Amino acid sequence: MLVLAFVGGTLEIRDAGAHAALLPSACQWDPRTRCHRAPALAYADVVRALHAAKAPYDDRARGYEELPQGMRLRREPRPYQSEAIAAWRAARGRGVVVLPTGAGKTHVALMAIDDKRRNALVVTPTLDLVRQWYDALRTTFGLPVGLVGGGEHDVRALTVTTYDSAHLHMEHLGARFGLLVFDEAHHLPGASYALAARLSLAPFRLGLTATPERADGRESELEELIGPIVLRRDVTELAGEFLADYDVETIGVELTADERAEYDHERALYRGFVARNGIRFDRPQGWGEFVMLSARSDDGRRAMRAYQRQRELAFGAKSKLEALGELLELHRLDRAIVFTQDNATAYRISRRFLVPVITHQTKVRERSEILEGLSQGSYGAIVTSKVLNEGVDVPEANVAIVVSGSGSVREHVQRLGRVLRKKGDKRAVLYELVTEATSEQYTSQRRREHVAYR
Amino acid sequence: MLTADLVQARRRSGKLHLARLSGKARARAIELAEQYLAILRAQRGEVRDVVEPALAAVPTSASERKLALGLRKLLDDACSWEAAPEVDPAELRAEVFHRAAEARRALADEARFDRDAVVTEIAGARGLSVEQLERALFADLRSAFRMLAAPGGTAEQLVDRYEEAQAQAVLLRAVRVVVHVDCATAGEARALFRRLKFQRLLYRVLPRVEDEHGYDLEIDGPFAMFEASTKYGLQLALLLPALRDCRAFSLEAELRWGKEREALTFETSGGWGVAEAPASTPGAPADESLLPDEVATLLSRFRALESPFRVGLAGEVLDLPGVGLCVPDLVFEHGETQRRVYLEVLGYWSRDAVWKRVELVRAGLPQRVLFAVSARLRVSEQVLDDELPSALYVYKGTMSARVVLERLEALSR
Repeated sequence: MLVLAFVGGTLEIRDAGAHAALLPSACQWDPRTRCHRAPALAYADVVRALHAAKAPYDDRARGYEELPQGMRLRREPRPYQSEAIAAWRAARGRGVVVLPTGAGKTHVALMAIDDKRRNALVVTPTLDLVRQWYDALRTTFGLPVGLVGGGEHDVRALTVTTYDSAHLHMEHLGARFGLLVFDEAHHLPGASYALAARLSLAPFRLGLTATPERADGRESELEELIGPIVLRRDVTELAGEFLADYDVETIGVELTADERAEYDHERALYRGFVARNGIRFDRPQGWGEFVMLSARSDDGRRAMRAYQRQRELAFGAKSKLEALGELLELHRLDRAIVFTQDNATAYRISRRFLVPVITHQTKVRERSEILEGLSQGSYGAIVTSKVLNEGVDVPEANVAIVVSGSGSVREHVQRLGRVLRKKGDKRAVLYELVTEATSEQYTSQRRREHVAYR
Repeated sequence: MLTADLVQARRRSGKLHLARLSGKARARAIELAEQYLAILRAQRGEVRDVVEPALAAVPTSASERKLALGLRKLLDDACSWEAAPEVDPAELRAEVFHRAAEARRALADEARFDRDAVVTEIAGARGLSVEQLERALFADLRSAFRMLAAPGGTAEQLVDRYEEAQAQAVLLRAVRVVVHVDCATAGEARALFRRLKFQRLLYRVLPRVEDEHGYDLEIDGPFAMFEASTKYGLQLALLLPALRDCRAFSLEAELRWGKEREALTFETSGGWGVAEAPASTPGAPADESLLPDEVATLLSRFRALESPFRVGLAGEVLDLPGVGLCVPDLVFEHGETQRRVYLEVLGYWSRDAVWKRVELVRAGLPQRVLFAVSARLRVSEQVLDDELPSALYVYKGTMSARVVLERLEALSR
């Protein structure tokens, strides 16, 4: 009889005999082990093909079970959440749901787990989100929840992990879950993280994101790794009724005279090197050329330092910190999240204004205490670099202050999303501090190219 | 271990060549290593924020950047760092930040937040000076870690380690490797295959070139047949020390190099029997002096017998893909029939290993093999039927050359 086994993220098919012709094209003959082999991702197709042909087989691959119970805590879904689940079911339990931050993507996933009732693994980009999913699953299903990542390795019927851990451990975990939930699923396409999907045999897959688009265009891989986009709603469709109303305000600040002189000097140095070497940043390989050439000579290393310094001056202008101080005082009775481009600035702000800071170095317990403090109001503001860009849920937060950031539209939309979760009749505001007459103005323009800022 | 971005290499004609340190370049590397070691040993007890700038201040040219960063990475790995704050920084932060939040909330319109007042108040309450509090506030950050112990060893040893680490770092970007390996003994080969299994790598024993010692192995992981993935790069890099423990090896790796994942090849070689890693595959004859005692004793006793068999060290891996392999110690060739019988000594260590060989024979291993097993493992010779091409020889105490001869004759009929 044909035997299916899960080996290192692949599906081994032994003794296929005459049934070899039934196997989908993903299955190939492996001379190393004298058997057919397919990526574990092909498991559902293989089983469907064998079923359709009524071919007998011994399934030693499937290592997941049905959950002993469904949701213990039920909430009335919003209409678009029910639509999302119906569309996902119609796509055989494989698909991506695109909803703006704060619209309740987590609840869609909880409904999907309840619908399929299979062992489920939730994959998230950060440890903060792991903590949040852990709480949501435990409260909703009343079952023990496992954790993989951040020093933990406890695998349960419902488990939460990070993309980093998932792609490393999926060759061992890939048979143990029937449903995969990829939170912030735009992270998945890419040489390494995609293995988290390819090395798993889970027949059911759900992707959640507010912004599936990627700068490298690899969002097209989501269809193969998870499934097609089954439902999409934009922020403007849900604002007011399901999301908080919001304002966006850009505040321009000036460099001091000393900063301006240094900025102009460093920028001239860097631009001079770029011009002398014929580097053009309007070409896709322009930046790569600059990095490569700058490493080859002392002149180049100086140009790279000059580039970094002029950027530091623009992003970390003294007037920004003064403006930030005024905003913190203006919103002293609100709950604010301050975002920076780098950790050094986040720590500088924390030290200067005595507000808690969360970076990748902050331990899980302290992160939880800080977020709880913000939620309960014992903290009026916190500062972070990038780790809170995505998903972290503090419904009470109503002010976002972007001190500095990249030109990424997604990052900016995600940061706005942190304050959009509906809570009573709150009105959210996002401030963006931009240093005038510097390259930061261009960065700011690029990141605001989204419907949310029109 | 170094990371791939610290590798000093050139791409030429589809190959990646490591920049070898010789002559002046090696002397300069040793000079740099000496300076770094001296700084680290002088800075013991300092925090990282002090140590790192001191290391970075050692003058280096643009072309030495990767060498300098690589040496510093290896040294950092070899140092012991520890956070040793006077007070619990997380607890102190919570207290300071909560008090600051209260003070800010209590501000009247137009009033300004007074940072210094908050710091002074908490410092006073805790019996600390303001400077102590400021220092303690983020004393648990990596940059505030204190160096407890500086690395040992000499600058020359560090540079040798750097060269080895470079080859390992290249293999982090390998999708598969082909290795020609020449083991001095069957035990050496078995250790290598055990390491392959431990690393969960798959291999294919490639056809051997006539009259050449050793084996050719193609090594990658289960998923590698679907996608040129560097997923197994770390396992392949960790294989390098096991290969260095063999008498000689040469390795060719298929890489995906750089951000653009360019397909390149990389070659390296070495082994304990090779003083200077040669460019070509070594083929030194097998060395009987390296045999385990019980095999060496059997060999000399067998040679003292009158027998139609010529005996020598086996140089092959008997592989049945998908089932397993065995690495025999000796090979016996009949003078008239030219029939070969292999002997693998399994001794008294693992009953499990015996059952794996039994499974291998039953699954169709075509070669004739006599598996010598100690009676202490309590295995019966009858588990392998007479019609199979291989047999078990269960011995008490030491192996008998005469009994081995009888079994060889039976197997070679």
